[in-house]
Amino acid sequence: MSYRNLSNLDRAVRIVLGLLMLTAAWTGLAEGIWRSACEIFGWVPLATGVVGWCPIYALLGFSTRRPRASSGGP
Amino acid sequence: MPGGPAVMPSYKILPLMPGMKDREPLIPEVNGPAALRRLKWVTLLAALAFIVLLEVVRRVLYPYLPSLSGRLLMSAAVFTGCLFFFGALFGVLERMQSRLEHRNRELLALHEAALGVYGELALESVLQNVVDRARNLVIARYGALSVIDEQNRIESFITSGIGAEQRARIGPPPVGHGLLGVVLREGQRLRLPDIQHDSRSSGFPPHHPPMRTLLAVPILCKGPFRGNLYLAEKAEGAEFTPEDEQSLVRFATAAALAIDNAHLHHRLNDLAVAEERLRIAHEMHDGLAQVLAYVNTKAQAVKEYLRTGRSEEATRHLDQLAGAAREVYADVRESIIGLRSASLPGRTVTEALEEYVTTWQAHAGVDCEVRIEGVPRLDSSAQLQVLRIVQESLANVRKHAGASHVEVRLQQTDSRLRVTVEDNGAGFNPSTLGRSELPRFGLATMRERAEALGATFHIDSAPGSGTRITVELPTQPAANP
Repeated sequence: MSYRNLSNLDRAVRIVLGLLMLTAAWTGLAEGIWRSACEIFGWVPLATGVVGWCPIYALLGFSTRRPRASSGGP
Repeated sequence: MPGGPAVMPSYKILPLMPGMKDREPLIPEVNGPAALRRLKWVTLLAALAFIVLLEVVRRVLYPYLPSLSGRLLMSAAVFTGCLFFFGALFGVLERMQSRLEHRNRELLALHEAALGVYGELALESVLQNVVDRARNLVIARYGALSVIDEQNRIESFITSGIGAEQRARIGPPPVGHGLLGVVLREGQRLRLPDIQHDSRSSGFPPHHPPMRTLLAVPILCKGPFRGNLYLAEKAEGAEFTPEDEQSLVRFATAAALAIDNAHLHHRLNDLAVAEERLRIAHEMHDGLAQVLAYVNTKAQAVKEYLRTGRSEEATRHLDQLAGAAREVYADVRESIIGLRSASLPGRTVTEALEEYVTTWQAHAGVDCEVRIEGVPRLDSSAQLQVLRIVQESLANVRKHAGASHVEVRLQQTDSRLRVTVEDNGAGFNPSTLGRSELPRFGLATMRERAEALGATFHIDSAPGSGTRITVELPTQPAANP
């Protein structure tokens, strides 16, 4: 039984967002406190996106992952 | 213990089914303490990791900590860390709970299967129950059970989740080609994510419902039954898991016991019929055959009297002969009525008894009253024996008692049934019961029948005060409301 609760789209968005935040922090695009914020919180969407599981979703009992549908034909 | 230390006896637990030793235990193991120990370590390590992470965050945010935004960021980081930590913790707990719920469902299904051993005895009902419960166990949309004959062909195919109309539209049951044949021939389990993409699949006939996932296991019985259990379309389009497979294998083991039990019950019924035939043959030998021998002796005596011209003695013996013929005619007729009233299946002992008594009253010319207190709880074999005892008692009333009234009473208490046949006839002294001119074997047969049921048998009688025959037997316990 799989315990993932993120859909593929959700995961892709999180990974892209995480990479953007970390890139902004490391390339100097963000400065000052925003740089530190991106450096700390960029890991959150990246990690959840890679693992496919979000703790907030899990606590709320929420999931964007749909069960696989039946093929529907003999 | 004198003479040395006590030696503890050793017991070897034998497998219930052939080859079961190498299989999974019937009751799945739930290693709760080990899982909790693991959870404690995970929690401890996660807390340490959380502290380290906070220290890193604090260092990164150090220059901004005196400002409000810096403190807000620190709080947000702590909050996020807490969410991850508790989310992971609840995730593990949820997984444990889900596993326990699954095992609980499995144990319940196994328990129900075991109850089926006692609840259902007809093989067809047991098989239908097995496939219905297996479907509920792994939450599958469709289920089927194939019964295999000696030539390894599908003899019958019991389905669940498909209506009769849809089944009729699909056409004749499968013969065992394709994937069904794999389990059929090789006796192996099968768990497929997609039937269509398996090279061994031979496709579905027209009007067959769409099926993608498949789980199949053989049912290994000790008795003559051979069959396989097939489940298709796991709920919500999911695939069957290895846990589902293990559950179904364990369930199939319990189902095999239920099926074996139904077979044994069927054989027991056959044996009961054979035993009844033997008893009838015994009664005919001891009753009818001896009367015919008596008739033969009398006929020879009459012939001798006629030859010597002693017609008065001959007439007397002929009268005795006619009396014996009348008696044996009445006996045979009574037996036929008795056999006919008991041989209709699906009738309760009360219905069979009332019908017999109605016919018997007209035949014997004795007033008979039937009183039933409670609902008698007897299996079919015990019903037949009770009916035979009452019939034999009534036959004795007609032949020997000279009674004008007889009462048949059935009293069901919590765990016993008392059967009483009481007449107001001549009565007799049971302790001085001797053989009359015609043999009287009814009492011995009645006692035999009662003993076969594990019942007690009493005769209360005295000359001039009627006779009461009491049989008291243990019955099935009352069902809980």
